[in-house]
Amino acid sequence: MKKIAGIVALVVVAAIFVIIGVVRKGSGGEDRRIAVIPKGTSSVFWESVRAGAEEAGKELGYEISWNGPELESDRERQIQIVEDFIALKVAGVVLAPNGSTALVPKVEEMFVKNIPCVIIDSEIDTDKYVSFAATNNYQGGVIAARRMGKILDGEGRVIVVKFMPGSGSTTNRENGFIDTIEKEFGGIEIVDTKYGMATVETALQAAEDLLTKHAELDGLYACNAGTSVGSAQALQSQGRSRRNAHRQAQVGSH
Amino acid sequence: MGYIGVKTLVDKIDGKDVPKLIDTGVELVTVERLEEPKIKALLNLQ
Repeated sequence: MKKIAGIVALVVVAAIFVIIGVVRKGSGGEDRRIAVIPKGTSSVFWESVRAGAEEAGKELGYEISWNGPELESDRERQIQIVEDFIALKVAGVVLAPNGSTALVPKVEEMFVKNIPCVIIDSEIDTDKYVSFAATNNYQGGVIAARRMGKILDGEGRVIVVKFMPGSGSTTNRENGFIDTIEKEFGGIEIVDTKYGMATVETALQAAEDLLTKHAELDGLYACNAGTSVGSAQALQSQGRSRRNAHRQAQVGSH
Repeated sequence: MGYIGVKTLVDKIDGKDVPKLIDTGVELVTVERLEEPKIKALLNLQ
């Protein structure tokens, strides 16, 4: 009976060592967690980004901690999430900043604290990061404009449903589209633009406002997932979707 | 982009040199192209 108690005690001691070992690993900079922070979690686009991040995590032996604000307009929440991951001492952070200036202090704090940070999707107004991986969003807008020019045979009246001020990726896309229409398609006029903002509902409202204001239109450019869905719903509800004329096109990236 | 972001971060953690700027590419997707395997993978469609 004494012997069995001894073995049990040994097992308990061993278990304690294992627990200490795990705790040490967690707090000593050997963390195998990578934080991935999207601009927002409510758009289907970010789900494909998440799938890619988790695939890489599995391949490379890191756990992916996925957390972002629900709405892409919620910069305060994203700043808070970065702060929480800094406190958790994760191995590194992959961040899609939802404000190109709002997130600068947190990104620079990570740089000072030697927490490697890779910026994805949208640029940030500092160079204190490891790497910036994104679509050439301006070029995405250029491609969309040329597609529009081709569908309309170079003539028509077009509206643009923008996303929101201060969002790097979409601002570049909008500029690429507008600049190219102006430069390459003299017969196409951009008659109006409006910000759709962070939800499908607000984008739907913005698109409906533009459609109501302008009776004669030939094309609509929406610059991201949410504004595209909202715009498509607005076109349908007003019975103004001529599917053959306005074939939906999307510019995607990994 | 999620894949490239995590991969680049781990390269940096492992002490490798990583480029400051990575262009993940742009692709025009139309309704006609939705069945292409490349496009399905890009948009994470099953």
